[in-house]
Amino acid sequence: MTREEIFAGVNEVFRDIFDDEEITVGEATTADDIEDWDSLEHINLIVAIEKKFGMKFTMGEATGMKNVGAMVDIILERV
Amino acid sequence: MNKQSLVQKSIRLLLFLGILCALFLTVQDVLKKDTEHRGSDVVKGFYAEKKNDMDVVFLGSSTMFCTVDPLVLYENYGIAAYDFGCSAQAFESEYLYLKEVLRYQKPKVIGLEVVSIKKKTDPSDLEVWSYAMADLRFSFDKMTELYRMLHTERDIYAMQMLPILQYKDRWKELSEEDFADNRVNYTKGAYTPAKITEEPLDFSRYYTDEPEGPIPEENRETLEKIVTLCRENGISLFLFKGPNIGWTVHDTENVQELADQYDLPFLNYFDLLEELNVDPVGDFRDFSHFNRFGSQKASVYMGQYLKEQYDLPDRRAQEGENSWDISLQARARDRAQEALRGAQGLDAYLNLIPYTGHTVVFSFHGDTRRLQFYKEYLSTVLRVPVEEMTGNFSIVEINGLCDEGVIDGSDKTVRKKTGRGLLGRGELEVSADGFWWNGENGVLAEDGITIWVYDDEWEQLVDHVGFAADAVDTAVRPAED
Amino acid sequence: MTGVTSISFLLFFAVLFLVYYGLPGKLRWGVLLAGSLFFYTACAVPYTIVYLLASVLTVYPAARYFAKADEAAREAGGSATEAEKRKKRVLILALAVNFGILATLKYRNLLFQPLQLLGVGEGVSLPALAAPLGISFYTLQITGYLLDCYWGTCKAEKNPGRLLLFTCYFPQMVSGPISRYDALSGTLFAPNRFDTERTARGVQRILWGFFLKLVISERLAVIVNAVYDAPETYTGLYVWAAAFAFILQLYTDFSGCMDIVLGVSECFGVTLPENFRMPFLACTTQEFWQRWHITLGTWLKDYIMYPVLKSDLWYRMGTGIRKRWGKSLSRKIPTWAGLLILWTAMGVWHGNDWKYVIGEGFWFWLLIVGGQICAPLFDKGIALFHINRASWYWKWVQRLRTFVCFAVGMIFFRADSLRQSFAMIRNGLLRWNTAILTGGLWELGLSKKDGAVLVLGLFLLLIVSLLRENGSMRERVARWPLPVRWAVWYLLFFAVLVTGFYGPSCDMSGFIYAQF
Repeated sequence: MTREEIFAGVNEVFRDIFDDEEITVGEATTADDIEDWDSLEHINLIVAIEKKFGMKFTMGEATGMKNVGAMVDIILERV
Repeated sequence: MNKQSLVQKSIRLLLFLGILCALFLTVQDVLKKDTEHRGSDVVKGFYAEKKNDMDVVFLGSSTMFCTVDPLVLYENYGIAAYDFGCSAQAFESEYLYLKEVLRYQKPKVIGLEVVSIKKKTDPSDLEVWSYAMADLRFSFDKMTELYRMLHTERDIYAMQMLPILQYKDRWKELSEEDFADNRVNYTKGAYTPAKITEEPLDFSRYYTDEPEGPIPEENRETLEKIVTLCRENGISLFLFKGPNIGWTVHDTENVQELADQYDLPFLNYFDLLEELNVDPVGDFRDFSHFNRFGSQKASVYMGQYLKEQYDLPDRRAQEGENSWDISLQARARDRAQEALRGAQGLDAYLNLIPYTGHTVVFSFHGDTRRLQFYKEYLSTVLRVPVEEMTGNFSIVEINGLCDEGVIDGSDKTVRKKTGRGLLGRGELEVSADGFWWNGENGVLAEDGITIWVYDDEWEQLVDHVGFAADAVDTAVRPAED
Repeated sequence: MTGVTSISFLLFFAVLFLVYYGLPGKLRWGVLLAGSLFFYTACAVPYTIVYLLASVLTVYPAARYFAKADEAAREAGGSATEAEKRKKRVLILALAVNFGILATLKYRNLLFQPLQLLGVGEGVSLPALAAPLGISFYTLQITGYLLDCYWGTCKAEKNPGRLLLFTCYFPQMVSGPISRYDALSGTLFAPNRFDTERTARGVQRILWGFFLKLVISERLAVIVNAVYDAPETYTGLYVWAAAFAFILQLYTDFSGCMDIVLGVSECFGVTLPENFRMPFLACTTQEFWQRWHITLGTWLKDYIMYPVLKSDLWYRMGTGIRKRWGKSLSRKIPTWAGLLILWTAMGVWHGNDWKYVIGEGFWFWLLIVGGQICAPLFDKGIALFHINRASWYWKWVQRLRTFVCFAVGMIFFRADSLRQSFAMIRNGLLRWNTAILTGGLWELGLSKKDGAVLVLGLFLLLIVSLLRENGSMRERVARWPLPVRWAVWYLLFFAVLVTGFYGPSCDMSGFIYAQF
């Protein structure tokens, strides 16, 4: 998969989880940028992403990601 | 650059800590309260004395300062002495006290009263330790000696080294008193009230009471250290024993043994009871302490003894006034005030009032015919001709508030704030209608004369008394609280 | 040693400080280790150090095993399920040992109490086993390290002495905070150079901690103890006054302890994590627990809740629910279930009694989940009353609500038992007693002057807390002119010295959280 494709998939998950069709995530998007993205939603996000792309984050990665760009990097490696 | 900065930093740190220490000592001083028994006044009085001025110092506990009175020694023999001991002081602490004496004085003779030599040191009585230790100045000796004696009671040790720990809660009850300065001890450490005991002392018990045991080891060691220290400093040391119930002939034997061992004279008042004509009732205030009269006898003898045994200068011959002269004056003043308080009838009273250095308020109420008599009396006192005492005066205040003494019935109100004192501190307010002391009406005789006497120098109320016109031989005083 | 506000502790700290900077840099962490071991033997029953060593001795090789296994897997390439399985077994063994020790020594009552309800072992009380100092804290800390190594987020420590120091570092042993290995190791093992600024900051922080504990907390304790010692007498408003006073007492006690502990550590150049961030400014219960006892909350979240929520079981639960009850619930219910596990753990951690599980666990879960469930209702209400969500007064209403909710939970903490907790709440709600407003307050053992000091202290705390939202207070003071700065520290020092509750005239209750 290409990076753009992954971004598109990730965006879909975000829109689904946060119930907001307006969301568009970029390389530098962090939890501060999206209102409902708190520690509880974060883990739901992780799980949803894992299921969408059929890969797994390690616990360390799940809590250590700095922004969406970093998340995409990891997905790229695993997919 | 770095090194300079380091020096700068060190200086700043030292300055910070220095100011902190100074503030700490000030706060501690303000919060500290004088102890109730002989303690603070003895220790503070000792520090208030001029350096290297004392020729004799007495060490011991209450038996010592009730037996020997430095003022009697001075007025009869010119001996300059100080009673440097506190109530119930532990024998072991006498070594520390001797060291403290030597830091400020160079006495030729030390007299050590031995009543507490047979008691083991009790580290757990906070109050007793604070008598002797709380006001003692900081020194490494204090730190180490006290630790040796109190190491099992760390809290008490901490409180003697840092009295603020004991008194810090007093911030809730601070008063003007706490901000005042140190006082000179006019009795030079002695405590000699005129009180007389109710029960006669039975001195036969000296021979019949059961012995309690040998002298504790730590006290023997303490005595040895004291002896050594005196020898090193060329001081003559002698032991003595005032008479009290509880001491037995066995104890005397034990002490005599020690005295012989160290070649010390031992003056035992038990052997002098007949010679001094000691009265088992009139000379004592309780079962173990002389009162003023007993102390007089004992001190006269002690003075004679000192004169014969030791070569002591007669300080009365000294040029100028020394602090014992001042103390004698103070004692005279004190005795005069005491006599005043003891006077019953108005006549005697009027003759005893000390006017110099005192503020006296006379307040007349009731039948104005009696005023003539009082006018005449006061004119003699004030040295103002009767004719010049005009007006319908009812208040006369002497030595202080008003310009020349007589208020002529006008509305003049004067306020005066007075300082702290043993018997009273507060505010006096005088007007044509009367006078108020601490906000309360000072008039004690609605038909008669009320007299209020205040010591300006010592800033304390001396007496407050009223005489009803129809009962001039009965002094009426305010009810005790 | 009676605690971190004792003279012995200060002396110990002073001596250790001199030795630390007196010796060359390489030896410095060794000094901390020696000091920590000495501290342990002075504060706890010495033989109990065996348990602590057992923890270290199981975790150290386990972590190194994980590191080796991971490296082997990387070199071999491909799937390594067998290695994963072995890693998992080692992990489970190590966790079992550590939590087994913890459970046996500290939480036996939790199993025993329900049995008693069923009639088993009536009237019997289990003898208390001597527990190591800070076991509830260091166990979490070291298992956090273990899990981090398992997940590969942390490099296994090669030096067992260092791991031991990490586990028994003395400032943490009394009441935490719970540190992460990669965060702490940076400054803990470094040959920290002496820095006057940093030392000054540390001392200032220690002084502030003393102020909170000795001047504020101990005074509040007088009121709280009076009410909780006689709950039948002090009903009605007394209950609420004591409840509010207690959480303030707990806050000043615990955060004061943290200030002392972090300040001490700062003097050595070692940075410990913050445990509090002005919790009473939180607007919701969830936010509150991100500001109160922060390290415990994040530990439970990272090491229990996340793994649970991420697990396959939970995923299956989610998909199952989605089929029956729709998308929205399929996300909410697993989350709530995960939260329940977290809050149960939180409650259990707080103590060896079911009252903690209810009061410090279940109650807050209820508030958070209930809040989410009732959110649409609240929204309607806010619209109805035209409340402006952004206004400052609404913020303070929320803060007050959060404060009261927390206070209720803490009634369980302070009361003797579950039964007494409910009794007190009942007394507080149903029995009318306003005596406290008409002078009853001054009969609880606190004089008016002490009350005045307390109010002043709380006011100062409030001001400082509000100012701290905009940056460190100590930095701020450091910018003031020298005489003013010094005056501030002198005043604070004498406030503690003169008005602090300590010494033989006071009953030093020690730190509340030190029993853990």
